[in-house]
Amino acid sequence: MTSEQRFERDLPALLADVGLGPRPDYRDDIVRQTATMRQRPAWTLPERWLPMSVLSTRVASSPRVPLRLVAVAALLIVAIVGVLLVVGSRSRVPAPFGVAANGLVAFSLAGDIYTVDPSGTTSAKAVVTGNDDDSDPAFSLDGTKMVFLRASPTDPNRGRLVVASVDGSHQMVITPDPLQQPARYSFSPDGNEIAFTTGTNGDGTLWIARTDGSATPREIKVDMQVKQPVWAPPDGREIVFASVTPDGTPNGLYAVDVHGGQVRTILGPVDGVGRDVARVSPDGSRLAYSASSTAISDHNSYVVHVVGIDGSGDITLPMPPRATFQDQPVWSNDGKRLAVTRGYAAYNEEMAVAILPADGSGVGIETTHGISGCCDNILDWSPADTSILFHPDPNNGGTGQQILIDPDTGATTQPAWAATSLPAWQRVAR
Amino acid sequence: MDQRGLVERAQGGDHDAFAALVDLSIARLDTAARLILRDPELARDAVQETLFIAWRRLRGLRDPDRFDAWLHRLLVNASLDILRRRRRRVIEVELLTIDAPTTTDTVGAIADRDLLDAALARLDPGHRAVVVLHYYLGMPLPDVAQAVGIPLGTAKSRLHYALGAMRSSVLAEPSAGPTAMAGGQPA
Repeated sequence: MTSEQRFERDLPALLADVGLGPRPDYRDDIVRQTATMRQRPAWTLPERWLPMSVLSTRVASSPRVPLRLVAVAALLIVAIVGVLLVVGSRSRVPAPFGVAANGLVAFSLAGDIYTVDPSGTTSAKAVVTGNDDDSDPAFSLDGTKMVFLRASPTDPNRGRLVVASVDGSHQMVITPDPLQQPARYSFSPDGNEIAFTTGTNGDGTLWIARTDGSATPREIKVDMQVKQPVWAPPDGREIVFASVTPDGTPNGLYAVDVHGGQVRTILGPVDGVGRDVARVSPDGSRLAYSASSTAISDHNSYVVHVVGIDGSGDITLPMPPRATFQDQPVWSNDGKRLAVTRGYAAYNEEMAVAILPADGSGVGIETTHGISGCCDNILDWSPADTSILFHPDPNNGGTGQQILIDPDTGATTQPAWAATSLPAWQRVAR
Repeated sequence: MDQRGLVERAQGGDHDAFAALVDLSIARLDTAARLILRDPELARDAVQETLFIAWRRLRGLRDPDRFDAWLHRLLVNASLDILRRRRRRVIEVELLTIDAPTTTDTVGAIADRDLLDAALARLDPGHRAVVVLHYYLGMPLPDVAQAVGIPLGTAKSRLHYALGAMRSSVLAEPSAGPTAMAGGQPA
């Protein structure tokens, strides 16, 4: 046996000897203090849902670094940055619309916000923690910031919107007064504003808040109940929305000028037709939306349309023969495809996600049936259009856990993270 | 009752079962923390924090058979956190009076606890944590990597570096300086 082998063989006993001290005399203190502490419920603990490896964010102490070396390195970095600023002025953030590279996925769990590299090469990282109940993060279109909902500690139906850097730092409450169910929040293309709605189930009043918190949120008065507003590419000058009648029936599609307040009708109300879920194509030229017939009462009658942003050239996207309805269209970032939820039963009993060409030339491909039940399923394409993150509506007894869909094959996989929040995928420069 | 049963009862809120788990683990945790932190008071703080967290979060432990690994991970996290919080504080390391080995036999040399203690003290806490988890607490290297929050390859390289440093330090110590050789000759 070599001396090295003997060293390793003897090391456990030697360590036990080196570390040996008197029997710890603080055992009773620990037992007494823990007796007064309440255990946290299992559902509030991320490790109950995520493997320990996913939650492992600990970084061991760094080795001591010579300060002189650090100073020299810092000077070099400053010099390099200066050269880069002079030589190249190309921004390293993506354009607000169109195909970009895939960045992080953000999700909420048990009141905290996490980010994770969806490639699975690193662990999920808790970026916003603490006693606040935070949920449903959404990234800015340049991928540098996020906004999330912080529930009021005294009223679960009210909350504030908080903007933060992607690493959770620089948190800024942008809606100081708690609002009734703020929802559908999204960054403007330039990242300086956030549009959102308030009201029952998140539909109702349209607001815009400054992301730097420099002004109180302003209401965008459109004299209608607003449903699912979206910033219109390419410049975000307009916000497109579906209106809702006081009894909750969706009808027309409109655009409001963010600065002037003028409302433009894209598709006016038509008796017996309920229009909903308006989504503008990445180049700003077309609009995908759902429309239902109020005359049909024995099954869900939604079909997906694509129309010019000025309301011209309306087409209905085809469905396979057995399908009963299509709903919830979401544009791919290249503007060529739409992901939709597709039903094969009277209502929401047998759902699939379909990916079909936006020009109406085919029924596309789809996932296996039964991927979700009712109703408010949310889809989000990855910035590179290589994957679709699907949040199945949890209101049918399912878990609501996110699912990844391959848009080319319809194959589904369970992501490495366990999230039940709305999908959010960071755009980064290619 | 076996440890798994105690963990399950403690997860159900049975504080007596948790006290029994404390009894089973506190000496081991205290020794490990002393080895990592090199300070009995800081070690006490780390063990207390570890067991407080363990009680609070015990219901999040999915596999009761992984209780020890989970507890060790909490201990490493608590220890490294304490060092970070106190990084401006000078941690006093006991200065050693190094006695010379009575023979040149390697086993005899490395058996000297003071030599090993000094060698261990020269490692940074991240390396010490890997050594302590693997060699003192007997954790497999993948578990060590997970506990410290580093890739497996990094854990392996840290262990390799730490062992090399300790070996060379221990074996070189007898001739390292004027205080190292107080006498002794080969038999």
